[in-house]
Amino acid sequence: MALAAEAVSLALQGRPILAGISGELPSGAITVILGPNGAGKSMLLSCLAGLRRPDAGRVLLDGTDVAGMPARTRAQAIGLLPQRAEIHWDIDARTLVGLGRAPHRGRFGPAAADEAAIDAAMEMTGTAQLAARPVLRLSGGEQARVLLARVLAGEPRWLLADEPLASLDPAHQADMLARLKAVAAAGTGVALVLHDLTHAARVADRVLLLRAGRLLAGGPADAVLRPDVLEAAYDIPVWRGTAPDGAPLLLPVRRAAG
Amino acid sequence: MPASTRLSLGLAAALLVAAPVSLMAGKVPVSPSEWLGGGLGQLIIIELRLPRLVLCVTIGAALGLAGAAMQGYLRNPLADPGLFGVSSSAALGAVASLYFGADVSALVLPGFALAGAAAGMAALALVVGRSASIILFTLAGLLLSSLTGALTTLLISIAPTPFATAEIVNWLIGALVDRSWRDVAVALPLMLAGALALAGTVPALDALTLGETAARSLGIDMRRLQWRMILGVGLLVGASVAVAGIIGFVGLIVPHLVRPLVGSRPSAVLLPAALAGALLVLVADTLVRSLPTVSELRLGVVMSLVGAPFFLMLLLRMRRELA
Repeated sequence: MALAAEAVSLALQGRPILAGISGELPSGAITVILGPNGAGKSMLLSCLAGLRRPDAGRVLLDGTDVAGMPARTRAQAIGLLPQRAEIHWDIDARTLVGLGRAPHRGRFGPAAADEAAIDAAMEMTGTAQLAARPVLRLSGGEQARVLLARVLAGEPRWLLADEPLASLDPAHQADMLARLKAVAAAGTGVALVLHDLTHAARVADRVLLLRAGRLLAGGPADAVLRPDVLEAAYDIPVWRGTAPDGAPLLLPVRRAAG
Repeated sequence: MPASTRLSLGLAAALLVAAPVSLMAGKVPVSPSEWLGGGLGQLIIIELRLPRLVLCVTIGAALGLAGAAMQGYLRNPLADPGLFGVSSSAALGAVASLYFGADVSALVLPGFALAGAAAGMAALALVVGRSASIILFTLAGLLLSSLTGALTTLLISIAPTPFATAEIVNWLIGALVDRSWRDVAVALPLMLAGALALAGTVPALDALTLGETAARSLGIDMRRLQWRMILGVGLLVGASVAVAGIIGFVGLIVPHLVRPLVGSRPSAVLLPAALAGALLVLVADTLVRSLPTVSELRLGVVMSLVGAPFFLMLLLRMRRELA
């Protein structure tokens, strides 16, 4: 089972954004989408989520074109955590998490399965004790976890997250990455748009590296996260080392003089 | 029992208390013993006060519901059905009929008002087109309401006789004086259809709490939602204006009063807002009738007089939160 882009091309107002991108998001693994600003990462994620129909090519979910699927069916399979977290009303955390059940909800209010899924999602994100708290009065880190719980409550088979670490402090970033890893370990296919290369190296099973709308490199994380490949993408030398805990460390460095 | 159900039951009970009190109030007091006793008392109750009561309740409910839906859709607590341009389009239609000298009490005026509302809704749909953008929708509504407002002013300034001018101005200030069962028959079916259209927006309004992108990823069809909003709010507000003129602030105030009591979930606000709107207009209209003024105060004026300070209070509270 996989969610896969097949030669996806997209242009907005005549300007090419994506050009023939192919890539696969396997179940139970984390695929990180990398690339400089304006490379088309968010647009690719939007196509993968079925929210934008490519001008050419397709996004296939187990062989079915997601752009042509009924919205409800698509929403049951693919959960999206958008780039900018938006919470417009001061509802309590549990109600917010419950919004993620929308694609499953029957005509007559929440069923037992909905409640169970909400409980499980809050348990998994460590937000159970926040259930009755109004969301707008939670800290940024707590809000991020509640929003993740919202996506998980929909029990999606694929979870797509656009910069899920933005505006989190280092500890919360590490916490969020660990939770996303747990989600993938439970069998969900996870795709993340990230900017920080070290974060990418910590979680990625596979990497899609974009530049100017093209796929510069795609494949297992170790094959893509190499200094020479990354320099070609970002126009800045990247030093690869090893952190004390054994994880790879990828640091953009100043270009050598001369 | 969820907070919104409890609040709705309380409001419904308050309505049941307020209704008979409202029937008694007026220049000619009619005690309950005369209501069905034949004679003048019964005539006043059946032909004047009962239709007025029904209109108060339905118009208040329509405005409260439309306001709650608009605020949920635009995710803006300051949204008002008036923003949408449909009420001013309906008013323009009504004013046009007065300009051409139609009799206010005839079916011509509500017919023109409804035609105005329909034209406004069509214009809105046309401008917004195939896009489902909420920003485009808001701006199109603002454009529509200022354009129709200007045209209404134009009609007033070139009215053929001072009498027509007075009649137009008088009508524009919403009121429920001398309404009959015929007005109920015009408004009620349209309002029911509008409420039905909005009932289908419940999951979408809730999902929009997370923003447009997240709502779409949850399977919400934003274009269908927009059509439902145009149809639902258009019918509710258009029908209200057709029979009562413009009654401001109800759609703005009522969802605010209700929201903190039901936990802010947009769909939980809808029913209590409709009931609270009905209660507010009923109580206001009863007060207007009972005050010992020489000529009856206009309901629209009273609503705005009460509404403006409330709006100010809201702004001050927002300022405090922003500080």
